[in-house]
Formats: sequence, structure tokens, C-alpha cells
Amino acid sequence: MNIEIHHRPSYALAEVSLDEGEVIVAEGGAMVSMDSHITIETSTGSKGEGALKGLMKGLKRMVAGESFFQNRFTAVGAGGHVTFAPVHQGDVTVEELSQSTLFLQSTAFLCSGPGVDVDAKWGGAKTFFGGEGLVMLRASGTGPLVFNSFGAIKEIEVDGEFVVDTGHIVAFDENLNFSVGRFGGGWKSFLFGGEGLVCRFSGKGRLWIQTRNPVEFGQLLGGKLPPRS
Amino acid sequence: MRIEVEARPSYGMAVVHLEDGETFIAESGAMVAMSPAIDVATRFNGTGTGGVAGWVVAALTGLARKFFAGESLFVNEYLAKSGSQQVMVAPPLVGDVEHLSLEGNNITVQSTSYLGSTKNVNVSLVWGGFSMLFSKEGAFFLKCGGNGELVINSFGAIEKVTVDGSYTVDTGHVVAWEGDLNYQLGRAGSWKSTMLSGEGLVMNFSGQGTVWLQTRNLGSMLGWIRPQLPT
Repeated sequence: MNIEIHHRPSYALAEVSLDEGEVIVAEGGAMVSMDSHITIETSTGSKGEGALKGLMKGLKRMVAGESFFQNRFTAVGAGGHVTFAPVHQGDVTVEELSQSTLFLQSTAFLCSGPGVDVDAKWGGAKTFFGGEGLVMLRASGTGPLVFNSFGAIKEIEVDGEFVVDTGHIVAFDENLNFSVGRFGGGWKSFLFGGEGLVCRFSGKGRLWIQTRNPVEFGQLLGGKLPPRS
Repeated sequence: MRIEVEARPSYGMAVVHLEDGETFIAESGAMVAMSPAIDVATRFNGTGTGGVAGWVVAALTGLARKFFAGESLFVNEYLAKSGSQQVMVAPPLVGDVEHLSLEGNNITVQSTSYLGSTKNVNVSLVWGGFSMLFSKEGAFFLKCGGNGELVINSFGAIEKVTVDGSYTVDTGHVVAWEGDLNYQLGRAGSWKSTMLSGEGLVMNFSGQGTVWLQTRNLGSMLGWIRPQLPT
């Protein structure tokens, strides 16, 4: 399997080349195009999992803001290629997992190899107050994990402490600790600094941030538009 | 005439350099800026042969394009009255612009992806077939033929794919394709996949030629924005 990302960072597209028999699992609706050697199968869970477990996984994904169903694309008869894109403007990046785990902000998942298990995970009340959804995605296993951002993606090596606005988090290593708190030293910064809640990461590991905040974008546009009818 | 595309792929804009007497035709509303010695003529977005009958034909085809292909009723013709003039055109959506040269071949364009062309390009409305009525993108396309310059635009970046055999593209991601390719509207995978996968309808291309696709889908983007609006 080979994954290339084109048109970064504004309108990134992931092009996945599969050898015969190889599989890529993608978020529902993410497929842009594919050649004739690719077949699609739609399900809620991984192959070989029971129906109930699959259903639970689908429901949990839906609570996390992802699609209930996922699509498995398999190259049959020969190698093939399939392309995927996220819904909004922004970037896409690939991370090779090797018996490792990354946490993803709930809408960041685009596609992954079959050896990566993506499950919704309760993030605790603290992420709820961060305004970015109650649930995060936990991606673990071995293989490529492809995720997307709103705006461009920047990778940061954390060694010690690092503070990120909750709306700008894309993904982070499992071994980073985090706590959600208010911005700045005092209540004045919190109330008037315009930053709301921030996430304080600590430890040693990698962190990916996005250069735009989708909630702020929605509020900016939404405030200028008539109500939904 | 020389056409350059700047600010790719996020905010593509075509800069059309015109010599004395040259003309460029663009969708109404597409003009960003232009130099002073250019005459603008606004006419119905259709082709008539002159006279009252010709005017009526032009008006009717313009109306057909507006209502069936979602295009504007009028187009603007930019005629250079001296040398070294330029007109800049851009689409309303964020995304890319691509300049293609036609040399007797045909390129069919998804109607919202047409930005402009030179006079010797024939642009005609073509019926995509009954099955296209089921796609959100509309049942009509613009078939561009002749010898001349064509400028198209996309939502997101434009990806060029060389098809040899068959190739499938989500209908919301199709920008344009070369005339030699055949296509059929279909569904992605089995019926279960069509109903549940979120992939919707696809166009199955076959033959040999180039397909241009866009890396974002306007329908999906609107679906993402809608829940963020105030209630």
C-alpha cells in the first residue's frame, strides 16, 4: 500500500494505491474516485467482528461525530487506486502506526489500513467543556492512519509542557498527558482573552494542531446568516 | 492571446492577455479587474444567427442554460481595442482554475465549472440522460468544442486523471472530461453501499481520455456548514 497526499494544505486529497488483495477502510462519504479494480463493502465494524460489536462501534462512532457506517475498499484481481477527501477545506496527513496509539479529535479520521482499529472513546467531562465533543477517537494497531484538519496541519514535538486551544487540536500520542483548563493566569485573560479553554499537554510525544478552528469559523459565519428555517 | 492562472490552487484566477481586436467571453460576474481599452458587451448566454429570430434563439438557449444547467443568463464579451490589454476572471467559490486548449477535440464540463472561453470555442448545452436527474449536480452539461481556449474552475484543487479502461468518480467531484470518454451514472458498490455508505451516485467513465476532478464536494460542504448555523 502506498499513500500520497496531493494539493496540501488547502484542499488535500489522499491517493491510496493498493496491491491486489489489500484493503483500506474509510469514513463514509470520503471517496472521491477509484479505478475498476476496487470493490466497496459497507459495514459498521471490522471484518470478522460479530454483528452486535459492529453495531456498537458504529453507534459510538456516530456519537463521536463520525459516520455510522464505514467503507472497506479492496483491490480485487489486480492492484488499484482510490482517492479520498475530507468535507471541508484543509489538510491531510499520514502517520504509520506500529503497535502504537494516537488519539484523534472526533471528526479528524479519513481512512486507515485494516490493521488499525479505530474506536470512539469517552474523553471525560473535561473534553466536553472544551466544546470539541464528548468523545475522541482512539486509533491503535499497525498500519497507516490518515487524518484531516480544518486549515493546515502542524506537527509539534512536545517535551515538557505545551498549551493548545481546544478547537485547534487534531491528534496526539497516547503517552502525552493532558488536562483542560482556562487560558492565562487570571480570570481576566479567561474572560476577555478570547481563547476560552485550552488543553495543557505534558510529557514527551507528538501533537498535531490545525491552523483554523472549525467552531469559531461556524460561529463567525453563523452569526451573519439568517436562522435555519 | 495568452492566459495565465495565478494563485493556484486555493484562489485561482485567470489573467487573460488580449491583443488588439481579440475577444474573451466569460460568465457574468466573473470579471475581477481589467485594463481600460476593453469594450464589454453583454449578451444572452446562447448562440443565435443575428436578426430578430437569432436574438430569440439566443434568448431561449440562454434561458435553457440558466434553468437547466444553473449557469447565468448572460455572458460578457471582452473586446480589446488596443494591444497589451488584460482582463482577470475568477469563480465565486474558493478553489482552482485551469486553462485548457482545444484543438478540434471536445471537452464536456460540469455546468458550474465553466468560467470562460475564446470566441472560436462552441459551447452547447447537452442533456446528460435521464439518470442524471437523480444526481444533485443536474442533468445538463456544457460541451465545449472547436479550436480555442477554455477556462474551467473547481471547488478545491483540480486533479487530472488519465483514464484507460474504466474509472469511477463521485458525481459531486466531477469537473470535466474529454469527449472520447463514455460515461454511465451508477451507484458505488452494492445497493447496501449506495443506501448506507454516504457515497451516493458516481459516474463510471470508460474508454481513453482525461477526467478532471475536484478535491472538494459542494453538497457535502453545505451539509457540514448547515448544523453550525443559528437555529
